[in-house]
Amino acid sequence: MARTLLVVVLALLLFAALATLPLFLKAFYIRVGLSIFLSAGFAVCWWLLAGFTAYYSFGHTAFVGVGAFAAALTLRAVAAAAPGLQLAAGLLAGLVTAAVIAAAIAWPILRLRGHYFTIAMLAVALVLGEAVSAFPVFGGSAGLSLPNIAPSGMRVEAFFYWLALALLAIVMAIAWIISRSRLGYGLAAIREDEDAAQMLGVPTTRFKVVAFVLSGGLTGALGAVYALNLGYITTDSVFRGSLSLEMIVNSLVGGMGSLLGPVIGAAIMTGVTKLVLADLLEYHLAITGLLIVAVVLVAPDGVAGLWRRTRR
Amino acid sequence: MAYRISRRGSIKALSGAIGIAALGRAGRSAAQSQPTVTFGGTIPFSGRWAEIGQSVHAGYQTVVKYVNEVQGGVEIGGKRHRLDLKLVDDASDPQRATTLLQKQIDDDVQLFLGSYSTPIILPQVALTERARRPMVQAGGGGGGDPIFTQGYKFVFGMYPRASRSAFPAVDAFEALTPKPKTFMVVYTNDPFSKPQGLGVIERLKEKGMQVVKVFELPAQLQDVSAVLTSVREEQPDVVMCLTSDQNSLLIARQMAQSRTDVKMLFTSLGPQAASFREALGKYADGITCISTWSPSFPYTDPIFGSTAKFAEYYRANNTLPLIYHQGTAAACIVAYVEVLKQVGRIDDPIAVRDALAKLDIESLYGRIKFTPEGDGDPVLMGSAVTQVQKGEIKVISPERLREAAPLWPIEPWSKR
Repeated sequence: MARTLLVVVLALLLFAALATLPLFLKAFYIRVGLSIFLSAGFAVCWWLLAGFTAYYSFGHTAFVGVGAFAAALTLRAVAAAAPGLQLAAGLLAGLVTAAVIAAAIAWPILRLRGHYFTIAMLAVALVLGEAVSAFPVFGGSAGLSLPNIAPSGMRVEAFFYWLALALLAIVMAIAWIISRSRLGYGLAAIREDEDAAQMLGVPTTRFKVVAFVLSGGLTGALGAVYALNLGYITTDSVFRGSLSLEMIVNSLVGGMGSLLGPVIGAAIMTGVTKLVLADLLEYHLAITGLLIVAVVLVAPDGVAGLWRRTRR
Repeated sequence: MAYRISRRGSIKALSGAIGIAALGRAGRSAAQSQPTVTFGGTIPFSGRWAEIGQSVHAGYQTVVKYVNEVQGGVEIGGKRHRLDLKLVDDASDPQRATTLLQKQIDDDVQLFLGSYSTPIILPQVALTERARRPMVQAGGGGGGDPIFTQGYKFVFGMYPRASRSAFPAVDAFEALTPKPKTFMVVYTNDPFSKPQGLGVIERLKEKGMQVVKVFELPAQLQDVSAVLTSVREEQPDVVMCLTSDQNSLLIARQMAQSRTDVKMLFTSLGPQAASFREALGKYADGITCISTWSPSFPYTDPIFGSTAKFAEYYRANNTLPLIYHQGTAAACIVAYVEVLKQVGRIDDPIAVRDALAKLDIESLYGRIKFTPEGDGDPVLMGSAVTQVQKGEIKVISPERLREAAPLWPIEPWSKR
């Protein structure tokens, strides 16, 4: 109990410290922080499913796109409302729409396992992206502009920094609570051996659906923030396959074994690619690739796994 | 003998790679002693737009290399300045693009060049606008409308916005004798074709021409027989298709196969490519399209002397084929150089912006004159209208570039 309290207090202090940084930092570093929080948020959402259940989705960009477009279309409908209400409506729309779509496809898609699930999710992302493009009502092919909802007088990048940080904190808190709940233990049992878990009375289907809907819905809410920050989205920009890949790579680099893994991975990958290698026009991809290869060789369980191993 | 990759070895290799790259950067900066005009920005060197990004980059680089190596720099305010490109890879990712551009704004880069595609450029323009630094760009999805319709004052584009980009074709058809009266417009639901199609409809109406039917089709076409049935029923004088190469090929093929005759067929993209003309053979003759730029255009240029000399220098120093992306990109730097010479200093981005707004010169790309919203003037900087004639692409409009009189009306498919 005392240890739990200590973890909560430390986490709150860390988030409070991070929240003060925009008061001192240049705009670029605030944007790097914003990118890290968004990437970490997406990676934790992906990990909510993959880390707990070993169901590896290659199509989580579907929920980013759905959340982004739901927010953009909702903001058009409530254009006359105050910016605060617009923000709340956009976030809620992203969260609920992505969660509803996740719930709608959960039952059939979670009957698949391993590579079949992975490929099916890839197909879901492609189909949803095509649908958003094909039906003019969504405006995906021509693109949608989103209004600037940052309060006047506040630096835009700082506003989105705080928003992304708050959402990351919420997503991490949810994941942490799950990891210590009956649901979390059940999901871990599914990851280790789904058939055995079912025989032992774990309601595997229900637990997987809950994890999938939570993962999809929260990704949708972050997708809304991603879209609001960019201010203009098309199908290509928010249903990008590379967004799914980033979630996977960040989780693998950081380590799949703990909640901190995806966050560490996002911080490393974003930091390296945007701070260290950003100016290298031709070589940054090759060096990023080398970095991933090095992590796989040196720390197959990710950076968090390596740290745990060295402490033993 | 088997080699094992040790953990220590991997870390050494990675450190070495980063170190070599860092040394390269240090060496590059040490080589510059002359005052320098730095152009910042991001470019899609990887990811979805990599191919175009590399062409745009080659265009930028060619002018910089020529000015520095052949002309020994450019005279600004009585001093010779070198030109320098500080471009980073945005990997076709808008989030990465805005973050990296913010770094350059923080580092006090004053002048920016554009990336490629509207979803990347538009978020960047919000940043340069707030920082009051000009950006001249060579392609926002072909001059995407949203870049120029949100009241931004510091962004300029070489292309007319998408909705105006096919105006030259309408104007060319209006000049035909006898004048065509009825038009059918076909466009696909994608970020470029749709605004282009809607713009064409507006322009036709402005010119008093009758639009008998409009078709909005999915981005990837599989079959257009329903559209062709309508063409046979309505018998418009001109069918204008604002479509990609592949879609244009499908439409032309199905029209020829079904003997659906019209007096003029226009496809915005397609006939420019030799592969399109070869695929259609004799059926390609008479199809019109718009050609943004060609190295054969007879323009004069303040840096290279002419378009032909630019093309010659480009080909001597590059391996990428010279297409319109390089010409457009090169024109961005030409515009900046001319404006900097007028302003006489490099540290006043607002004066540069004001001079860009008033710029009116002829360049290797053609006339450079921006609209008050910043995009290319649709008539002065618009595309040439070209037509396939005996398998070759010939300019039929504007008058100054004309290589052949237009074939009008075109031959029925059955007589070819």
